[in-house]
Amino acid sequence: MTTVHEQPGTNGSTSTGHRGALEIDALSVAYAVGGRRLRALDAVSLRMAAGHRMAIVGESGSGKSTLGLALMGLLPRNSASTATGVRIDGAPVDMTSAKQLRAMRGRTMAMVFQDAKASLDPVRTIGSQIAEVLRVHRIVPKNAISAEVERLLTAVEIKRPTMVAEQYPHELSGGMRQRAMIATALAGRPAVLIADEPTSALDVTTQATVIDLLHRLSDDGEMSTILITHDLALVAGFADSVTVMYAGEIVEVGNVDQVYSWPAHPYTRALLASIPSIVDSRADVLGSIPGSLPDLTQPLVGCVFEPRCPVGNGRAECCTITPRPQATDAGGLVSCHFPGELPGEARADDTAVPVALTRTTGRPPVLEMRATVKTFHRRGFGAARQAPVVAVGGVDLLIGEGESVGIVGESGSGKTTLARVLIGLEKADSGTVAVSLDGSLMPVERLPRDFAQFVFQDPGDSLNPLMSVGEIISEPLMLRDGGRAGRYRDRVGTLLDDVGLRASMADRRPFELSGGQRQRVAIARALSTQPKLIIADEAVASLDMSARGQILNLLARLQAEHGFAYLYISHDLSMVRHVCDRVVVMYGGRVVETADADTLFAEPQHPYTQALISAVPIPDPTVERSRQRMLLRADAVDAHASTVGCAFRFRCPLARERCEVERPTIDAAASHGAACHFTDEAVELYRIDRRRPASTPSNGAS
Amino acid sequence: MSAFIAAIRRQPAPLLAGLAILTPFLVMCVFPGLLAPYEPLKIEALPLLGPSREHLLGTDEIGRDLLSRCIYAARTDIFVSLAAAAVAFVIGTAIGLFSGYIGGRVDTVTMRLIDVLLSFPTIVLALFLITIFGREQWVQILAIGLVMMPSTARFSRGEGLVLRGRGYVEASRISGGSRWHILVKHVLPNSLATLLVAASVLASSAVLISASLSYLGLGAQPPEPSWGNMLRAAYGVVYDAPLYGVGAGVCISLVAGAYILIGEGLRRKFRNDRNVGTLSSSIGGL
Repeated sequence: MTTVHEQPGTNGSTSTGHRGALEIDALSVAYAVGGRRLRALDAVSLRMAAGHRMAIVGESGSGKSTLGLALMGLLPRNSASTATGVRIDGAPVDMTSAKQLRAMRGRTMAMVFQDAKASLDPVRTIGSQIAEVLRVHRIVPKNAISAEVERLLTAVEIKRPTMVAEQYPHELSGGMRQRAMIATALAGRPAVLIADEPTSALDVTTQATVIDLLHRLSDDGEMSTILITHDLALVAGFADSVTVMYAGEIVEVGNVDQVYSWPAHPYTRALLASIPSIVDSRADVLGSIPGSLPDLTQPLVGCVFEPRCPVGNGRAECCTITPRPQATDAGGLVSCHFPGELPGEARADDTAVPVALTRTTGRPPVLEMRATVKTFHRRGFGAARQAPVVAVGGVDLLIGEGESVGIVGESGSGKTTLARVLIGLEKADSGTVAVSLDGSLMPVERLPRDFAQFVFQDPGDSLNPLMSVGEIISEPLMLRDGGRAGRYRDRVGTLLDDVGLRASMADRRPFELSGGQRQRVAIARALSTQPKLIIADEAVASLDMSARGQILNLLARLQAEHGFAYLYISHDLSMVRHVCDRVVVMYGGRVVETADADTLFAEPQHPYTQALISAVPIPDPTVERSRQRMLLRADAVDAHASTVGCAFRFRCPLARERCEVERPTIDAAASHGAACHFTDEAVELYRIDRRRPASTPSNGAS
Repeated sequence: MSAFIAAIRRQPAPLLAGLAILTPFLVMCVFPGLLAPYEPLKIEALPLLGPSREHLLGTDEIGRDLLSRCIYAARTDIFVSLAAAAVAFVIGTAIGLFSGYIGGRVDTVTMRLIDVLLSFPTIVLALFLITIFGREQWVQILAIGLVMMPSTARFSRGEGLVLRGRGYVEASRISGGSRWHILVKHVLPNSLATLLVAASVLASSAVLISASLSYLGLGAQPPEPSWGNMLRAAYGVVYDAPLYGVGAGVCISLVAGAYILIGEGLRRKFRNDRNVGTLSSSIGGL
């Protein structure tokens, strides 16, 4: 144990030198699954300097989380791990000794998990959970514990530490809970902090502040941080170095600038090409990686990425010899026979077609929504009775024929409720929804149900596990036209072909398909009745990066072929930027800004839109470092509860008296409108913010 | 054949154990004559004999062979318990899934009615129904089924509530699926795995309730044998023939236990299969 016992309240600055150097040699982990052995990690070796920030990226199944769990000694029972050596700050760690690992957990290394709600004990206060770590590892004397808890909560930038220490996890917002979780991890003053997808469950605005916090915590070199994530954009501004994993192996390691600017491994390159960026234009085609992970229970011959690699593409070396890590020109390591080589002829991707850029004005509307209100009444009697929640408070929405509209906003902004009202899953309290089949508008109740279709977020949930793919796809047709499933055999075949699946898939069941394939089936079902409008509620959020690109390209191609309109509901601004003609920003159940996508992202007028855009990470380390963030206060004010004035005023940097009494309105007919009294000032504020050089690295430019 | 044995060996141990216990009883139901050494209603020897080589369980108060009576009683007891469990399962599941899926006021009213039924002690309610409608077997079945129905309804309502929020249910609603269509095509099939496990508990308590009713004299009527009325007779002569009731008691415990084991086995099986498939594949491999 190399840690130095410190006095409380010294904020860790008196300890000696840098901590958190990590060396891993040939760490392998295998899971026993159904009598077979699955290689989760295959002789992984890694070096990390003290006080370093490293990101481990990869898709699901790449082994990145297993690596984190293995280091913590938290692997599940059906696993077996071996390692030649693991050293933290030079001291060897015996991965087989449960006792030593237990002593080190929380003390030498600590972990922050994705879901703070599940990781914190719901029946104990935040303070007592932090104090537990302090007591178990005897970090501070007993009488100093409560002071230390407060210091830790202050360190993670929680405003009222004394109050929060007395609160239970459910009383805190998601971002606050994640901060409390980080405080718990910091309590033992670990040398290595492992954060496994710490922000995946958070809103983009909260995500920015949490990543910012993690970045700052490792500033003094007392601790090194490993960020495990699938989000390459997030990594760009955070990490010093990047480790790319694929199928249980490290395929590339390097300095963050080098990996993003000159990726040496074809997999890294493909990953970087598959993520939409907020600075991209709609015309760019997203890259995608055909195929899926290899079967890790089978013995490996040759390069693990070869079956999906555009560079390898059947070359003899790649098929027979497993590549060894070799140094790149820029000082990184890459496991590839042909590092840096660009693919000759790209492998066929069935989905990629360039999107035709179209103007959206002057199209006949397919849907018109006026002053729609939806209120949820919470249960309870007497004192327990709570005020009703106005999920959607008077929204106007217009979607033109063949247009792609995106609705963005944080969770709780009412975007999903709005979509559910549109599709008829919820009934609006008031307002009108009118739709058009042939140019003339009529109320939604009088229309056939096949006017619009819905693509859900999680295809694992939206496909009945007991039905075959054919039955699933033909269900809307059977409901409309009657008859048995067999009658639609040909139509199902055509639809499967449309979404890039083989017609023989019709006999499969959902559990036999990958996530991307399932979402294709869900899209085929939505297409079956040839709707005028398809609503996609976070349709790619549950998919892996490489599959996301494929699905987005597929949706774009289908629109070009069939000409229907899309309504994308998403919290992912980069994706919306990439696929939408027009964007609607919602906050607290109301539309705060609407404009066509290019205008909105170039000149946002509402402070909320500006904050959202500024919080979105850009997958470019150079840009990220010089960026100035407009961080929003995440104070727990219920935006739905405000009945007068501007709902955003509690978090707005421009808020003043007028905002408290007068609710700003938005001109629905304008091509670019914002519900703010001070749009002119807001625009100025945004300009200044963007231009200001990032002279203070500790403050904002993460 | 070896594939068949391999398939059997893959099944969870409790399921195999439960089936192994239950199978002899099912044979007794179908071919009681094959197994029983004597006629169940004929006087074969002196009354209240202890166990011997001729009469393995001894004889009853008028000299009938107890083993044969136990074997013939299986038909009544197992039939009544399974039929009653089926009644409870069908009615309870229908009410519960419907109520849970529909939700809202319908659900609130239905569940309050179910609460009223639940508040009666089980045996008392069954006694009441049998006293009014007579002691025929079908009345017994319906009475036992009805007293067990509310708990099934409660349980399956939970399943209905959960499945209501599933994406495929909403997808079907969007495409114009009626309540009936969704209940039959989506909700019922997907809740069946869980409900079948619950049904095994139902069958087990049906055995106990039916034995209790017989014991109280409201089940099968003498001279027709049932495990419950044999226990009742044993109670009266406990000082003269202490081992009289052992056979019937063991039978009741074994059958009730076997149902529970089967339920536990099914639960494990469905849980294991959830990683690969669900009910249809599980039943296919059963």
